[in-house]
Amino acid sequence: MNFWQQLHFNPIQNPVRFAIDLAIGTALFVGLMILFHRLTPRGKKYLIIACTFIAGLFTVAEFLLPTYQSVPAGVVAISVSNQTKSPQVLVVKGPGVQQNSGIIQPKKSGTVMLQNAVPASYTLYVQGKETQSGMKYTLIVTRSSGNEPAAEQPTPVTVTITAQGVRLSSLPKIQNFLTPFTQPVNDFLLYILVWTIGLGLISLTIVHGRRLLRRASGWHNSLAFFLAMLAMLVVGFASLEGQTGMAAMKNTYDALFYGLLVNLDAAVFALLAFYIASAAYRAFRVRTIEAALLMLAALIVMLGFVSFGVKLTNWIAPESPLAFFRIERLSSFVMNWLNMPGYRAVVIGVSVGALAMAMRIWLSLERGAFFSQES
Amino acid sequence: MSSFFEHLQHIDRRWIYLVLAAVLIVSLIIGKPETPIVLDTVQHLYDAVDAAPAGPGDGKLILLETTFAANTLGESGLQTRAIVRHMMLSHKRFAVMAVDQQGAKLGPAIVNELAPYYGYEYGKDWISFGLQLGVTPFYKSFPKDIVGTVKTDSINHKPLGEYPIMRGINTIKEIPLLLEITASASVFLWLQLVQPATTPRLQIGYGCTGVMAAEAYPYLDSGQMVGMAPGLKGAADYEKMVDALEAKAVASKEIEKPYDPKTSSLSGMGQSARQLMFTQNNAHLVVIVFIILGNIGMLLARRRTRRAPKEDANG
Amino acid sequence: MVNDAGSRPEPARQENETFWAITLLGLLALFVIAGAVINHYVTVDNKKYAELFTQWKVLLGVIATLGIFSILYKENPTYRFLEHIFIGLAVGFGVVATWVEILWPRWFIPMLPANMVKATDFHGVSEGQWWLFFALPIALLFYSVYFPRLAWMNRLLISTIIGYYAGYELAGFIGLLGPQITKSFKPPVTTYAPEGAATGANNFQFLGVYWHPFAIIFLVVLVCTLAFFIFSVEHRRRWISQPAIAGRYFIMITLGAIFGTTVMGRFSLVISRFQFLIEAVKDWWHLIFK
Repeated sequence: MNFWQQLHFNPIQNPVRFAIDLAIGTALFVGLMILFHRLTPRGKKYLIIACTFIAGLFTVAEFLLPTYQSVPAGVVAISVSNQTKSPQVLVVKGPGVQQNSGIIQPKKSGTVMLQNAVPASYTLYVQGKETQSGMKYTLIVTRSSGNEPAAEQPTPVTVTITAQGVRLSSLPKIQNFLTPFTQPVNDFLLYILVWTIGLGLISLTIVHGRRLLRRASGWHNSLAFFLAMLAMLVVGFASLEGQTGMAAMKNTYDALFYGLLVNLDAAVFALLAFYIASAAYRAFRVRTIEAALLMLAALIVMLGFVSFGVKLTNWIAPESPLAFFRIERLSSFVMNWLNMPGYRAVVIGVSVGALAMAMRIWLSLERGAFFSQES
Repeated sequence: MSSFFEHLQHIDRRWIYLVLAAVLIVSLIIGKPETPIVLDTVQHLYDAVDAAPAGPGDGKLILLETTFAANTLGESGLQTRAIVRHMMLSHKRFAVMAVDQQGAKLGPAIVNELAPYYGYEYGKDWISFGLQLGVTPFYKSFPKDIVGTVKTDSINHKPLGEYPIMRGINTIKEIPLLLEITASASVFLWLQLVQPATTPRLQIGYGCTGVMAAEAYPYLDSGQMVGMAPGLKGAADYEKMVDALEAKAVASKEIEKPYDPKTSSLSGMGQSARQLMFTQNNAHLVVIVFIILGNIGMLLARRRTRRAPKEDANG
Repeated sequence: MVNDAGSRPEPARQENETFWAITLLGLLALFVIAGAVINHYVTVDNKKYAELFTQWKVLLGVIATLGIFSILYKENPTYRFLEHIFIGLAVGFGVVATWVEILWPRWFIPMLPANMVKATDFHGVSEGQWWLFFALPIALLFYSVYFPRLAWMNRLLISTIIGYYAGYELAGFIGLLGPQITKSFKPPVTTYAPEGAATGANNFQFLGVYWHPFAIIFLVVLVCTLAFFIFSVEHRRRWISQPAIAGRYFIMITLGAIFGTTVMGRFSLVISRFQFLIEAVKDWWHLIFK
């Protein structure tokens, strides 16, 4: 039984019931948002603070709370489900232990009990009448901390044998009571965040749409924007409809992506090289000690990367006492012993600052246009 | 004369662009391959790929993340090509994925170009996980359940379980090495969220653009990264070692002929990294010459300004 | 009322703009028609016209590259036009990739009951996970920012998500910095030869012990740069101000090293562009004259 089923969220295969459940759920959600909307501005502020705190509390608590292991020492129960069309035998081998499940008939389950299992790697073999023989999988058994309640049953390790291979559905987990929630919550959050792509789309449409409708300066550029965007959307979706159909669209998609987008993207960033050359010429003037140090370090590193620089100091023998001054070694010294500790200090400083900022945001202590705005 | 020194300090930027473009074009036409001195960090990366237990029968695979866009094909694309050639010559099984939309197309495109040369079969020797969303929820769920998080491959859109290469691949424990070829900060999410939770520690190899090379050194020193290929220089160094390996493979008739970069249909990847390093050298020289010219002009103009009041006082 | 500054330049600018609008949009239409014709021939007989299609893609790339590079001379309408096409293509591609790679196989198909999914080439597993649907109405709260009365809902969602990630910052902080701090303790003198370390300026034997002088340099640079970032103590006393000044100089060295690698990084981009242009010209020369 997976996480959602444990919460009594069972999949629905009936389209009518599917539609009804969605409609009810949406109505409940809209009702809840209407209720929240009726709160006073102060009420909304406290609601936002509470939601922020609870969301952060979940991740902080999951990280900080002590963990336990759900499998007691010495006994491991492995539940085997045979989803193939032929009888299978699961064999578990490990230090001082070899157990097999006996023959498990198709679509049936069996159990392997490992007595006196110790923390180690155990290898699972599947030997059946068909092609599954000799496959190896590893089951890691860990020793329990001994703190779990006596009444608690061990979480079984589940192995499913399918036509495509053997799948370990659950393993002894190092977890606290919040850990099972992390994956489903993370997945759900992923599906929410993905929809933010529409925000950029709408913003650009508003800006360029206004310019186009008012025939403002550069309206033809905005028209080109819309044409390009629509072309990519239409061709992109149409080219993926089936493998054999829409071959013309596939070619157009290729032309738009590899012919135009890739080249435009690369060309825009290639401009930076010219700008950096001109900026280096203008800005790198040795007026102060700091500027001199900066330029010296840059020159050593640049020369260390190119063959011309290496040739400049090639006359110094690699074994001689002066070998340190060969440009590639000097460049390596600057990168590993001057740049590296300096950058590490910057990383430490930035990380501490980021942590402080994260804690302030979690506890809603942050002030600013976004955080203290009231509707 | 003073106007000459002032002019030396204020050369019109379009002349700089023109000189740079001319030097680049001539260098590309000459296109001499370089034999670079291999950086230590690149050597360590090469050794890590060599030592990764991801051959047939090991039940593991290398994860290659190609998180870059077309604008960095000249660095990241060449690094990817060199590393993929190495993995194919060493018979390592690997999966390709990206958290960048373009990278999710470009990575598999590079591998698809190389696969016929080295006899690699999709689904058996390599697989493409496609585009993943590079946010915290992904980095939390992927290590615990790879198949459940990715679900389908990106080329045929079939469930991962249907491919032979995915047999026994369940969690991050079956990935001995992550190779992150990126132009963004995606590697730091692996370092923050995934690596600390793995036992033994997930090995991470890094292929970055030149811009990001300097900030990787602290992580190389701490052992959080096992090796790094910085920019075009890293690609050229790696390619030098892979070319030597490939020559051995051709000599022993393991492969028919060495890979020819001219056969690449990807924009800007028609030459090897070692050939492009020759051009890179000359471009660096142009920048150094202009910096020196600017400073000479500034120093001479300053000296002239200091002399001028003395001459006025005496004169 | 006469506006001396306004009336005369306006008509000239508009005329020029109309000329560029017609020219650029006309050229775009021409390319689209040519592309459609080539596409038709390629679809009909791929083998015979594959090379033509490849060269068509190369031509698009050359025009795109040269058009973008034209800004190096001066600002011009062609660059702006291509820039907007680039943005449009990038946005369109982003939407397509997000739907096809993420939403369709992982959210939409698993959500639907099996018999509602049309048999297509997309073999996402249809599991009837109806609860996934509610990611959409929740995500729609992001779009409440466009309605001032409902904008607070956008803040509710964003604050919740930021709070969730703020919690992970703690785990990330320890995970990222732990090894950094432990590896900062480097001994300048050891009684053993470090494994794998070559003999050199940072590893030599003297008076029966092994010396690693670079560890002292490392420590000095690290402490001084950290001192530069400490703002809890005022930089008035010598014990903090002197290291902070030294730290500033070390940061200059770090920035110089970063610049050195940045130059290499940026040039790689333009080198691959010129390489593409040269290959295109060589191929066309070969096709036309040989």
